[in-house]
Amino acid sequence: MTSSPQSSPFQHARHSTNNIMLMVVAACIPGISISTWYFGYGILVNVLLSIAFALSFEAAAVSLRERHIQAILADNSALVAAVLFGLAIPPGSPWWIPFLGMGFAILIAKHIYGGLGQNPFNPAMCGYLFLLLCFPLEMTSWHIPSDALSDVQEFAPISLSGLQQSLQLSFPFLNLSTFSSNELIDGLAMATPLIESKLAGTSKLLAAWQTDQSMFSRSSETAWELVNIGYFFGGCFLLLQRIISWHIPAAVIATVLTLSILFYSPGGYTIYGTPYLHLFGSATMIGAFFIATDPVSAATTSKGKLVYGMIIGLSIYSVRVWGNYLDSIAIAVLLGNFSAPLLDHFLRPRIYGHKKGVAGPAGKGSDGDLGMDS
Amino acid sequence: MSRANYYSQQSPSIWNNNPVLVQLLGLSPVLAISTSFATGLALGIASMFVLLLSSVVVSLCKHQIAQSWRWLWFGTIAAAATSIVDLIVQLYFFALSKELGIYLSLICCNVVILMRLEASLHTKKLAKVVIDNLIVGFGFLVTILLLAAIREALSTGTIFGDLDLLRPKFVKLSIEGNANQEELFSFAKLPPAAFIILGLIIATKNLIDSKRRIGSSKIKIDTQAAKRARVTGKI
Repeated sequence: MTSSPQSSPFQHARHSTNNIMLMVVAACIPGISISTWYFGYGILVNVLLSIAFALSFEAAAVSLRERHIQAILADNSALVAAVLFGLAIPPGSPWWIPFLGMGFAILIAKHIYGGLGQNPFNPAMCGYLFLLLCFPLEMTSWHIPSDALSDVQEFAPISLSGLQQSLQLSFPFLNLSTFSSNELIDGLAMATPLIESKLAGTSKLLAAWQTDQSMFSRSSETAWELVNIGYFFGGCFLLLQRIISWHIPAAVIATVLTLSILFYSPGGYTIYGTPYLHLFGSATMIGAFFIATDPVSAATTSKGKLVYGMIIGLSIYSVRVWGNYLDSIAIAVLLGNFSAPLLDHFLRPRIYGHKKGVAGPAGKGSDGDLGMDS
Repeated sequence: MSRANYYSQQSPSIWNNNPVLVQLLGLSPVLAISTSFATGLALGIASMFVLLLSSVVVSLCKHQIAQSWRWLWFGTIAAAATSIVDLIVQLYFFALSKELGIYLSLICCNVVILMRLEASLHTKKLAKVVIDNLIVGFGFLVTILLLAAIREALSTGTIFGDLDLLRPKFVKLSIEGNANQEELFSFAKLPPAAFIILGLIIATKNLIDSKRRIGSSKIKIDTQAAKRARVTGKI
């Protein structure tokens, strides 16, 4: 690539890559804190372990590719992938789950394709789906400290014993805790309340909601709505900072909302769940604001982003309701990533002063060659 | 020189001109059947047998095979040899034939075999045909065994766990084979894992080759000079 002198107009970049990635991590903090508050230290242990593994794999891959290690680690993209991955896997996962997941995500889903900016798929979701295919049992057991299940004991999940239990679950060989392993495994087996909705007709979330249980009573059944609200506000912060544009989250949320209203049958026992459950009782918010908006693997044109968001929303709802998986953000986002290059090819914006771009082979009057002649 | 002639005139070698790792031929049976060591061994031996039998027939009848019709002859001869193998396997190794499925019949479409038949047509001595094709078949067998061993070790923790598949019908064993079906890392059984592991094997081979080349020629290769700025799009 030659660095030929370029003429104006120049566009001012408000953020550098590492700045953007740090902002994304910062926007996750409300969601992470609420999750930790309700589900115990397991979430935090997951995130920290994933970050450690991701950075080491990134450093290993970069040194194998003979690039500058510090410069590439400083772009923080591995950090964001690690945080999103750590939030996706169940708390209380043994240490090798983040190890294998981040290994697949960083080495295979990212660096084999050429590193940041070249990966066609979202690395964190690739790692998650890889683990879900390999270890379905471990990836769907949602272990939380047993104290978190009762409404009576206040502050139990983030007590010292809760931390001990989480560490014991993550490092089974340590023998930290005095609890027997049977007691530790006794957790709530759900990724989100969606599974309850699927199997039992109504979710615990819904039941709690209907019996006027306070949202802030610290039971893990009502935790998910607060967690989602936390991610929603984090996402709004990203929108205000103009790190993400509104197109993708709006399209995802609108599609899920529309479909869940269309298929909702009130009163009866139904596998479809309420619209509220689909938006706030699941991983929709983190998926819409944080995962689907990955700038590398998402569509880039405005119209493309809208269609991309709709594809993701449609897949989220379809896989949840008619599929076998509990929640479907990873599958939906990867399906969206598959379609993103096609969307970018066909939904080009009109460039000022030119006719509408025609998708077709280059050199036949299309404007696709602009800026590609270096 | 056409591509077919180019490959057929390369000297056969297990390492330098491996049919799978270097020429990247016949990948579909290699990727599909390498889920366990026993099936890999069976398919490798069957391919080797078909290759030997059909190449000997081609070599013996090379004056009768018209140049313009040769691919039709190659296909027919390879298909006949494959049918023989297929019937033998169905007769004596029924469980194995169910495990191999369509890939046993598809041996006749293996590009490695068709390429070697082309080479056999242009080789004068029968002994050289046999030796060359033994080398190629052995290279194919070794590669599929390596891939199968890695995938089976990852997925079930055993190597040669389903040895019982290779026991012919007329051999009675008092000891029952204990195939360990516990799944450790089930991803290794899936097709993407085959691609990833084969890619890693090829990369390892290329790494060893380049290390050797640097070691032998004593020339320091400047890796910085050949860095590409862009890997996608038009350059």
